[in-house]
Amino acid sequence: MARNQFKYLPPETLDSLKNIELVAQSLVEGGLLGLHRSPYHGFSSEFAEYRKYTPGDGIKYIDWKTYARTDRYYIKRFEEETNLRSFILLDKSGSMGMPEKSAPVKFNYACYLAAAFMFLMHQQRDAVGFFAYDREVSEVAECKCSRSHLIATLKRLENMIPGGPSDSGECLKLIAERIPKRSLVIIFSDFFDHNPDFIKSLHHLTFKKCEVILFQVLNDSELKFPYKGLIEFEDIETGRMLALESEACREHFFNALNSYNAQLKNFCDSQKISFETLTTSAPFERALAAYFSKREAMF
Amino acid sequence: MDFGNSIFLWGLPLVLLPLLLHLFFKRRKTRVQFSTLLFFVKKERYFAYRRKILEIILLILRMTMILLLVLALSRMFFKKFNFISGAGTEAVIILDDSMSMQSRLPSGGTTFDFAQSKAEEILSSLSGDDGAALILLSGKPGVNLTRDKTAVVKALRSARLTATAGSLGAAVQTAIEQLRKAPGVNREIYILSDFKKSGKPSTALNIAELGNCRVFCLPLRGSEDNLSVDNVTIDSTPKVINRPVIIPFKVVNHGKNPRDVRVELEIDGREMQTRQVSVGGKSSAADRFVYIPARSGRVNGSVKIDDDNISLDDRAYFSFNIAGSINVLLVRDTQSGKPDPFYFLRLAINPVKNQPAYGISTESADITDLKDTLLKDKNILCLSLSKPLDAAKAEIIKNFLDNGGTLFTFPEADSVPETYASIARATGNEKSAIYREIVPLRKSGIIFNKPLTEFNDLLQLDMIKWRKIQQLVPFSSGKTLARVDGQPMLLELTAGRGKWLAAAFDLRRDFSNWPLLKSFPVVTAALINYAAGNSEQTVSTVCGENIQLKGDKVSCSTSYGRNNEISQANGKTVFTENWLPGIIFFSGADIELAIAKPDSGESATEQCDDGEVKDFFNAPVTLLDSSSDLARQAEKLRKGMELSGIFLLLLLLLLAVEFLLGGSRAMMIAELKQKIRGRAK
Repeated sequence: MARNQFKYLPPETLDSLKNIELVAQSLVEGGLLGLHRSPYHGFSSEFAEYRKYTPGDGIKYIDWKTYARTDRYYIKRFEEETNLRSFILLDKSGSMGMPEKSAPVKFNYACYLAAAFMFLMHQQRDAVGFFAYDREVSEVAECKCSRSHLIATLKRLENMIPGGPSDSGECLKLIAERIPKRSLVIIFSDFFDHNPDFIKSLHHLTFKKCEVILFQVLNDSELKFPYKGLIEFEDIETGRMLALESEACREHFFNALNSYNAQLKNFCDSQKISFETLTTSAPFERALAAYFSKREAMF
Repeated sequence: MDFGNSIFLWGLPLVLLPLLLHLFFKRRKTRVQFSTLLFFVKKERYFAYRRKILEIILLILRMTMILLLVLALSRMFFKKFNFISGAGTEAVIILDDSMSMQSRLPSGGTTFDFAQSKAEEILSSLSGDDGAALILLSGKPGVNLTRDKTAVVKALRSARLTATAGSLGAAVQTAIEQLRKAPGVNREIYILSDFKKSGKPSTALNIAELGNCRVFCLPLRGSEDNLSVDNVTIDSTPKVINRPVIIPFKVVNHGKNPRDVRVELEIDGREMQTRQVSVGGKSSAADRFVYIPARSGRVNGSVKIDDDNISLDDRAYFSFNIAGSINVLLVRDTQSGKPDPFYFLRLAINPVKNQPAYGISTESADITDLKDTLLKDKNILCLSLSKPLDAAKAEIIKNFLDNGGTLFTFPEADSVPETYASIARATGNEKSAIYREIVPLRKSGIIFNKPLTEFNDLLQLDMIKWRKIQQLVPFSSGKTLARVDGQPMLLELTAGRGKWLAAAFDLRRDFSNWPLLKSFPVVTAALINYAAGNSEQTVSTVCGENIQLKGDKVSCSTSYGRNNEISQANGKTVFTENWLPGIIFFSGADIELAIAKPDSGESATEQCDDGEVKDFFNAPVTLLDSSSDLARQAEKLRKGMELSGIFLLLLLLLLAVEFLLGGSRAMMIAELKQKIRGRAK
């Protein structure tokens, strides 16, 4: 892949991703041999166990060396390894486009991350699919592991502009219908939705035994609330205005945000969904590396 | 509105200073696009609104405070009227000296005395260059606008109550005329009155025509309980010794409470009779005294009641003359050789020669002897003639009539229409003849009309058989006293101050058989009594009215002990000092005496309330408070109300509010700062 060809995949990113492997925590199904454990046993280089021969088993699987030593028929079993079907879901609603002075916009940050993940998957010869949504599912890329597919998807990322209201619940429900079971689903969003029940749509994914990773992308303004004096806040998605004394409402803002995130985290924990909050002020490579190291330590 | 230190008004632009500072330091609202408003609570925005509203309130407070300070320093005055400081003031005091001002105040004095003291207070409020005038409501001369206040005070102190009603309209008009000529810019009319309901003008008094004129009214509330005696009107028939004289009277209770009152008849200063009369609230009771004179001569008296309130209407005066008898002069033409036409008349009213019966004495004379001197002490002149009377005699008779005498004319069998025509001409009735031709009349009986209807009950009237009559021409100004079958038989005409009774029948038997009937002496005696007019030269007048007199050197004395020389002016002799009730005796005048009565309207003391007082005028008036010093009130009204004190008080109040609100705002800001500091840590 030629360097500096893609906006969201700069050369330094490519360098930092050299030694990173994303391995699915759970069993995944794939069409090709790969890094990931498959629920199907067969021929492969990884020995699993011996089993007594039973009529009906193919005689080609009998281990003749063992028969020579024990005079009994044993069948040698290997763990089959497969490639991963992964899907990147990107929230492109208006809230993701909230302007930030000293850091990339949340959407751009999410795009960087998505591109990195796509590249990572491609490197592992895993198939990558892509969905972008706001009020509806607006961008769909089939799950493929070809290079041309990656390039096309990265190009599409570059052309996307965040905007409009979000309906995460409905979109996730629709996307879940299109994702095959036992896939890896990575969602990049701020998860600010006016319908607090949107998170329950993740049930559709967990029901399909998909491994779901949520990356909550927030910027410094949301995390530190640096405003002073009389501020008229405009909801970037709805256009609604609210004039507030920033000092007076700061405390409540933090409480409300933390409480909201805590609810999300609790839900994710209960559903064995990985939930990670990233801030746009941190370099995304570092954030990514930190995430992978953390994940590696966990498993 | 006026300002004592108007230079401070230049400070008014400072009012905008807080506004400028507010605009300069105004917190700008920053607009920020944010991902979501999920984590903001709507109510938090009230904090911002509250602060904003607080700041606006503080701004208004500060601007108002500066405004109040500037106005307080500039000593702002609020004036109801446009009083020009430093310019001269012309004050006209209208003092009500009518009878109702005699009503008693709860403090004991009369409202008039109180009004006098209050008027002096007004005068004391005027400076040396100011003008003052006193106008009395009764029309009595006051003092025209003058700088000499002592003259006004003197006139004020010498003013006395009158029994007149007075005219507020006339007094106000006089005041306006005086003020119009006055040089002073500030014009004031003070009206000190009890403002009775009966005195309310039918149309509002016009004071608007006089620019920059202020009217101040001091309504004085005296007691409304009052009794008055009225209707002491004695009939005009001649009074004779030992004949009862009816003196009617009416006691009027003008108050709301029923009263028992003692009524006293006083004759020539002595109490003669008394009555106890009960009068209900707002009603009247009539009664009468019967007085039998024992001697001849003038009788002056009064009917008097005891009443605590207005005393001028507690006495009603009367005066009449008691004669020895009714003197009748019977005049005929003795040279005609006819029998005495008055034979039956004399027989009827004077049956015994030289001894008057019914109080009537007769005297006979020939027409040629008729002179003024002969008629001097006569009440009635009876004429029975056939030949026309000459003009000289008619003139003598006219003078007799002018002096209140009564002429009684009878036709004779050969009378003609011209017999009494000269008298008709002399008395101004020349166009209409009274008598016409003698015509036969075959009728019987006679019908008397008012006021002689009681004669119709007499016996033998229906037995009168008429043979002929001399036709009479009824006058529109006269009245027909008796008729027979539609034909007038007896006419009464007014002539001068006396009257002329013209009969269509004679007093013998040529015209009827009446002299032979029993009814004749009764009717003739009664007719003589009816015919006898009161020749007294008296008038009845209401206090305040002028009495026109004739005479070159007239003087008078009054029953209340005052003697006046009445001088002539413009060829007229007029008695103008008719202020108190009583009897006024004139000498050297055509009128012997006058009975002055109080104005009956003044006895009703029902007073207007404050709202009604204002309705007296067509322009705004200010009611003064009788309980406080009028000088101070007048000065306050002239200067207006200084508002500096109020402004300073308001300023302090606003300062306190500003302190509280400012403190609240400071606390709010401190709270925010604390939050910021907490966050920084």
